[in-house]
Amino acid sequence: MNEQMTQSIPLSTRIRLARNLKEYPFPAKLSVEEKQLVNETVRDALLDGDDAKNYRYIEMKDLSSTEAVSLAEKHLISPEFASSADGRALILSNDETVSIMLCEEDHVRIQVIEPGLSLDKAFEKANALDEKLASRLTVAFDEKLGYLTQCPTNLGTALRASVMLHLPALSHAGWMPRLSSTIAKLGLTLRGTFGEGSRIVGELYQLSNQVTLGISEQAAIQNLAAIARQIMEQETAARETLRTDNVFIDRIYRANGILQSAYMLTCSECTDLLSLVRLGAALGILDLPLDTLTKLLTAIQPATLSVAEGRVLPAAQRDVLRAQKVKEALQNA
Amino acid sequence: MVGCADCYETFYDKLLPSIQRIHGRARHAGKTPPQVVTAEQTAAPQKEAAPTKEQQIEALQAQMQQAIDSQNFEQAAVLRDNIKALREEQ
Repeated sequence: MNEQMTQSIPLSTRIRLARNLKEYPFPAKLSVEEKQLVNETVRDALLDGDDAKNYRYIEMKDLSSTEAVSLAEKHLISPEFASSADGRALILSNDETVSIMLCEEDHVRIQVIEPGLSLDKAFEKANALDEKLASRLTVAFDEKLGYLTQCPTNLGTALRASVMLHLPALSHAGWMPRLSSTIAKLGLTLRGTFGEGSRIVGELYQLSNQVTLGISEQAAIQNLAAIARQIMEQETAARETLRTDNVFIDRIYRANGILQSAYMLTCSECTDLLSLVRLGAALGILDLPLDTLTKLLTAIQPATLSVAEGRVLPAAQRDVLRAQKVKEALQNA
Repeated sequence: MVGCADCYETFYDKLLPSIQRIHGRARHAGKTPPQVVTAEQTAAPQKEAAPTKEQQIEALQAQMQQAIDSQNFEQAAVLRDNIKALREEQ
């Protein structure tokens, strides 16, 4: 098995821990003022010493909707969190690997993102923040039900672990529907990269655990890592068979041609082409660094493009800018 | 959606069937939160070695001053006697 190729399949790993403060009702039952009080209580508990320098406290009402959506495009906050600013705040690490959503569905949602498949490391970081929080504030917890969350689907560990996987070869082979239903039987889920109900773009899938009660954090993570590993091996095998598929190889070269010469690119076209080119790079057909292609998948998102440009752009102008950015990045790579 | 943490206790019997349906299990198997450490505990010296007499006296003096400030003279008197006893031991 080609280990290097297998390692190119996971783009990132995310760990999310949901926590609530015992003395306050869940966010849905709080007024905006009460939410602010919760947010500031959590901020004061977490941000001291070095952490005060390494993190920023952002009240969501101080961000424009474009800036908020860009954070969601980078997976630092949920699309739902970006949709409404009232009584919501975010604690964001300067390197944008740790984001703590305050008063989303739960009072506190600690999230850590690591590149590649790195569940243990991401969990360790999230757990350290959780230990700090729980040593300073009383967290809602029950012996039988574990960490208490607004939605019963998160009870227990309240841990959601996910790995973002690039699965173009399995998608091309038509395996995804069967794979998704097999995974559902194992207590996991495979869906679009923006979570529940999101569309699959660029053959990018998010593999996450579903069951949180009756399973330890370590067992959930090991289970997810084992399944991710199996899917990665299947994808690697499927990619190997594509090497002899001339029609498919031609699609990869054409995708690269369009990305390096188009004057305008919509987000969805660009994502689909980047997916093909990323596959080409992993197969060694195209001499392009995977890292550049992975970063482009986020940088070309509509709100992120506007934020980088410092102003909100109309769609047609964005498409021109997107094509320029991609061309530059690929030609300088 | 549940309103607050206490709802889980109040409506435990009603919620249990749906919790079991969602997770297939109904008993937490993960970590438990650590004990909350209060500000006073964090402020207390964390050294392994026992505090010296001098340090004990200083701490008691500070407590005595606090007691005086809050007009808690009974407690202040007890603290004063403790300080005196420690000084005599030195």
